[in-house]
Amino acid sequence: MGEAIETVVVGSGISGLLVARELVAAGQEVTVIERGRMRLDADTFPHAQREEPTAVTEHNTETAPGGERSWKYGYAFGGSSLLWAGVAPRLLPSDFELRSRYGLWRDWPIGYDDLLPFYHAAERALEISGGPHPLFPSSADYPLSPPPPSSVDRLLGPLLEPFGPLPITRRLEPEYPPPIEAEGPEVETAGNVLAIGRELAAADGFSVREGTAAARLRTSGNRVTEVECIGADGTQSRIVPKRVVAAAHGIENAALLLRSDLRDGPVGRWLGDHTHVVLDVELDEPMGPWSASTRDTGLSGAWAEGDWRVERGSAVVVPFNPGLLLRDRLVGALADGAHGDTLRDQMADLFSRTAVVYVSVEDAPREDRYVELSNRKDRLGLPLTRVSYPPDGDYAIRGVQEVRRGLEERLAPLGARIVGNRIGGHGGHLLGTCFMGPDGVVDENLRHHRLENLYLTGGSAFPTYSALHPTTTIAALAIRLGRHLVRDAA
Amino acid sequence: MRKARNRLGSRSVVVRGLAFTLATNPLLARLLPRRLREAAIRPLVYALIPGPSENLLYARVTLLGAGDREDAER
Repeated sequence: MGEAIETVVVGSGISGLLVARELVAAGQEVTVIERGRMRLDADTFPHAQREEPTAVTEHNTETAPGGERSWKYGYAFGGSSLLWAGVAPRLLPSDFELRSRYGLWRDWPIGYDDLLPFYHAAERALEISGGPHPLFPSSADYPLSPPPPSSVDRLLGPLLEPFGPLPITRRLEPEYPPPIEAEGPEVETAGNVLAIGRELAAADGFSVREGTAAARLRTSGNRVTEVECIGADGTQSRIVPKRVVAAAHGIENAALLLRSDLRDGPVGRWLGDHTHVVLDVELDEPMGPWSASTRDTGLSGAWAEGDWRVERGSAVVVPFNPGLLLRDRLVGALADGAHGDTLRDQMADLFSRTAVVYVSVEDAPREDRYVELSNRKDRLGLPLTRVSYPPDGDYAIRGVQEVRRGLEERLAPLGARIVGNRIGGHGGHLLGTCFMGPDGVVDENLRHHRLENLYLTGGSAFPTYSALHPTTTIAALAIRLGRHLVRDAA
Repeated sequence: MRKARNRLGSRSVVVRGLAFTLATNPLLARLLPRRLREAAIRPLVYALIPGPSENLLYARVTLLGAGDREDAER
């Protein structure tokens, strides 16, 4: 017989800690199981040192041939929030209704209005700065005012309507200094959930089993009866939970269910990520004196919404304040023999006339993007996960093409030409695999369809993916679940 | 330069500096194909400008640091 615990939360990232915070605030006991170490000052470490290598923090994924993609996530207290770039928009109201509006895939079982109070709560919890944006109804009351628009936003924004402030955590990592002379408030260190972790660590009823993997869930009838755990040294233990909240991401939540042989519904299927592209846009004239208080300050919805979504992906566009990355251009110019004042002038001209624009595009949900168990096992005897993610589909590619064409058209008054096209940072948004809905794995309250005391939250619950960054919606779902569980217990 | 020496060691910086000097010498550079000139210049430039720390979105990094940020920028 294992130790009896009221609520077991698997994973200590944004979802896990926000669910835990709601429960602890209501006087409930929560134990968080985290593979990584609990270091409350981890956000002061360089990124590469935030995860302590142990037997339970091996990134135990293999990729299927033809479905390769590098996935970004981490095992540490604070989870993947320790990698979060701080970009925090909501989803569009239409993102919840793709079936009803366009006949595409499926609707979410909840809508924008259902989630709105939890968006507000999430934005307060994550200390988001933002302001009224035409894309997001009821977006006037962010807890922090938006950073002043950068010089790039002031130039491009009026041509990229609907355009408004990009919701972003005011607290940025030390590796994201204000790139140019700061106009706004001083940028602090954070952009993760360790501040919430520090509050919880001091609270009654909260505990963490660090350096421990939730290996399997044991069930009997329609309940989870035990959580089998394994430590980095191979020590095994069992917990008898009143309820379990799996609060990891699209790969780990699915892996836990698959290891537990809980294959009800499309577990592991419909894995989602965004298509990211970075465009270098050369203009005729210099952009003038640079100024910005944070890395990104504006968001364009010019290609976000319309009936055309039946055939191509929604896209959002964010001008990127640090400007053109010059290293490779510098290498090229030196190789061409430029030097001295000529080289300096050439680089200054290139920098001042090139806007860098980040584009995130929605791709179609696909059943052939999935997580499954491999035949191979890790050092502790747990099956590896095998992930298949075939390349961007036509739906996303058409979305990218439309943004490229439209950007040159809208920015024509500035003489814009797209001179660079790079693939951005894939693999950071691990969505789907345990989605909510009648044909999914969990219901609208994130409860497993068959097991009455098992809940799954995080990006894994997304039925479709939008073009927008998922973190705020992940946080809103977690707070909504936490409050639901408190009501449920009452 | 001092930061690069601390990070990479004096010998490494000297070697990169030598390659850079050869590849940017107006007379010697003509003897080298462009790709080779770039390959000789790049290590010192990358040592002096550490890379796209501006934006993790570009970088294929994990908490393990498995990704190489320099590769990621390219």
